[in-house]
Amino acid sequence: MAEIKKWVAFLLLGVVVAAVMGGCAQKSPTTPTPTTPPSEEPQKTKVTLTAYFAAPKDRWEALVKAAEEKFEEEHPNIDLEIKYMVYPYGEMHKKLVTMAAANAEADIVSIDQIWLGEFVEAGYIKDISNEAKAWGIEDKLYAPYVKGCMYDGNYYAVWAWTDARLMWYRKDILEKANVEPGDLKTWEGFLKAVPKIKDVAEAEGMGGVAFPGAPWLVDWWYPYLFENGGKILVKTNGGYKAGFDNEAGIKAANYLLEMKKAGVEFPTVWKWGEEFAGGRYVVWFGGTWVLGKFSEEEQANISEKIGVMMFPAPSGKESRTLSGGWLLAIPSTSKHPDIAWEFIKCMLDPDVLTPVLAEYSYLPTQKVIAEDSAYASQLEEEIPFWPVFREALTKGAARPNMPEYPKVAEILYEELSKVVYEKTTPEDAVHTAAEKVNALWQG
Amino acid sequence: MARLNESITPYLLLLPSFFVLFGLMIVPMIWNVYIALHDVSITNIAKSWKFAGLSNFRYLVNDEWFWNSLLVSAKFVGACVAGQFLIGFSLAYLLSKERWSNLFRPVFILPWFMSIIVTGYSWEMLFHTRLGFINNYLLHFRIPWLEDPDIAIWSVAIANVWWGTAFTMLFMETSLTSINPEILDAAEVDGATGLKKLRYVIIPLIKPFIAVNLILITMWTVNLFDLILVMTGGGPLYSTRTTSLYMYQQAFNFGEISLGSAVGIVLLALNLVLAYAYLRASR
Repeated sequence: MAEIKKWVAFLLLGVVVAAVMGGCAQKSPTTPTPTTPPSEEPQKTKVTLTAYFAAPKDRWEALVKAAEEKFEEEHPNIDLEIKYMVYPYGEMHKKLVTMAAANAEADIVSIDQIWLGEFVEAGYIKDISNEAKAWGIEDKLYAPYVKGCMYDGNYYAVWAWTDARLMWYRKDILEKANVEPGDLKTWEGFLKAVPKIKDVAEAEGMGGVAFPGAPWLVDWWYPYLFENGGKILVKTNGGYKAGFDNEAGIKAANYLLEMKKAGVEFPTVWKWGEEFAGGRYVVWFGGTWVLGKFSEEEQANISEKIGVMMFPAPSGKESRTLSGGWLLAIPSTSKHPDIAWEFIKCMLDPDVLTPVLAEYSYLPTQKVIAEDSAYASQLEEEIPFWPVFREALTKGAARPNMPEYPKVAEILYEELSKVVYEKTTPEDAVHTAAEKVNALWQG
Repeated sequence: MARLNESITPYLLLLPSFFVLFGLMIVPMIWNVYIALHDVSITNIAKSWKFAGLSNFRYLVNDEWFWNSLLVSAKFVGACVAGQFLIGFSLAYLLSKERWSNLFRPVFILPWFMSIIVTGYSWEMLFHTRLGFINNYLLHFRIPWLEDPDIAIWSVAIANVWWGTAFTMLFMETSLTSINPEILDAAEVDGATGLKKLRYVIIPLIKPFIAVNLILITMWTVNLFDLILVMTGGGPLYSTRTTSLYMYQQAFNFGEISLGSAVGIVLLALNLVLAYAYLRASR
């Protein structure tokens, strides 16, 4: 009996110790709180901000370092430390989902423009309408990017920079194929040129023209949809409906089939342009970021060998593109939302941001950086194709940012892939996709 | 009293392990069932969850892509388990006889030391139609390993067999060492050599090991998604989207957490059925 008593006492003691330790752990703060050093030194409050960004890491290293210096100048009374982690694109979304599910504490996160609604609805992103308006977001950013920072009429993020989908080409091979770059500007000229490019490319051991297959097919299809006057979604009374279930959508879907028949390749393994920089293709539909895939030596005289232009457009119509890029937001769990906002403002400061944009060939969302000669000249100097990039900036459109959008994109991917693999007609693909998309808002 | 004490003590000693097991395995499983029976998505995760009954399971039954994922899983698991077992067992058998086995064993085990993500990226680059080593330097013509919906699943299976075979090899080699050499000698005296010895003596003796090995590699392959995610993301045209990848995409790409949980329960049931089938067959 004494033995049993001993065991029971031992267990009870264990439970008490665990409870006490748990209680203590709950009381201790999970992140450092502002502390004040001894009174002899100038009053400086120590603050640590935690941030989560999407890869690549080096761009954030450059931006955070420059922003920290700016912040120190503007807030000498705060001893700021930024702890940040960088995740690959897909992992970043997963990380945000798990963080939202766990209501995890963080101060700044980078959000792809299409994810905003999802995390706002999850209650994970803080409404920064007052701060953004006071900062002058409506005057500072180009209109499409202002809209991209909003959800349900409020501001939840600031669009830091953008990118655009373009068409890259190798001048020497085009010359051998007897194709003028100008021939590729119209849809008809482009289609005629594809077989010629392919023949010469094959002889050179290269691929001809490449348009991204899975999983990015849809993003690259949108410019064709926009050129023909279509939209991704249109607002209805009860929500949204497909904006592509029309002649524009069918025409744009038919472009994919025409490209396939002309000999365009749709690689599904996608290295973001390394294939083009590595000399494996003559014409490559890739983003503005493709420039960064060339080495510094190659970039020095790149315009002699490489050219870039907007997507081919039907005769008489204007070429369009799709804008991507990253938004900066403050999670609702932030312990220092005011300081996080101050730091975001430093990251967005034209003096801080412009060198980073120039180095990584990103496009500015802020008018002042694109238009003020003090900043635009930096971009012009560093980015050899700045005039084309600048044109893309004004002809870009953003994707919707409501929570249902990932499903919309998946439905379109499913049906458009079938067109590429010739398993359905463009008409059927568009109608089927529209039916499924419309059903998302019909309960 | 001493007898009572003696009978209670083992249970008391097991209690900590039980709590750990309960906390880390049973509770999440029950939680998963709870989520699958409610309507939980990323957009309402912070709000109250409505009871959804079996509607998530009904959705799966009516979703053609869920059925497609099961078919893809069947192909993938079949190819991987057959490949891993046959190659792994053959290597184990050869190594158990080979004098130089100590030299070769580490070479064959090497892939298993690699992270599955690194394996995925490596094979993705090897299979790349235009940049890949296989097409450019070995074959000198272009096979769309990961770009043709009819080929891609087999390419991913090759990568997984390369990675996972080492486990079967080690496991089966251990099982072969468990056979009493006197039995093998006796079989030889009775005239059983080569394949006959393998078929009528060795395999029946290590049948339980084979069953456990098959159960383990089947379960791991059914649940595997990271390799496929890295190599193809489920494409092209969903030809490599297995049920586990479908589950991942529902939960993390579309934020449909309940649907992801429902698929997880289906996968658990599938694993149990397969494990039961192997155990029955090995009797």
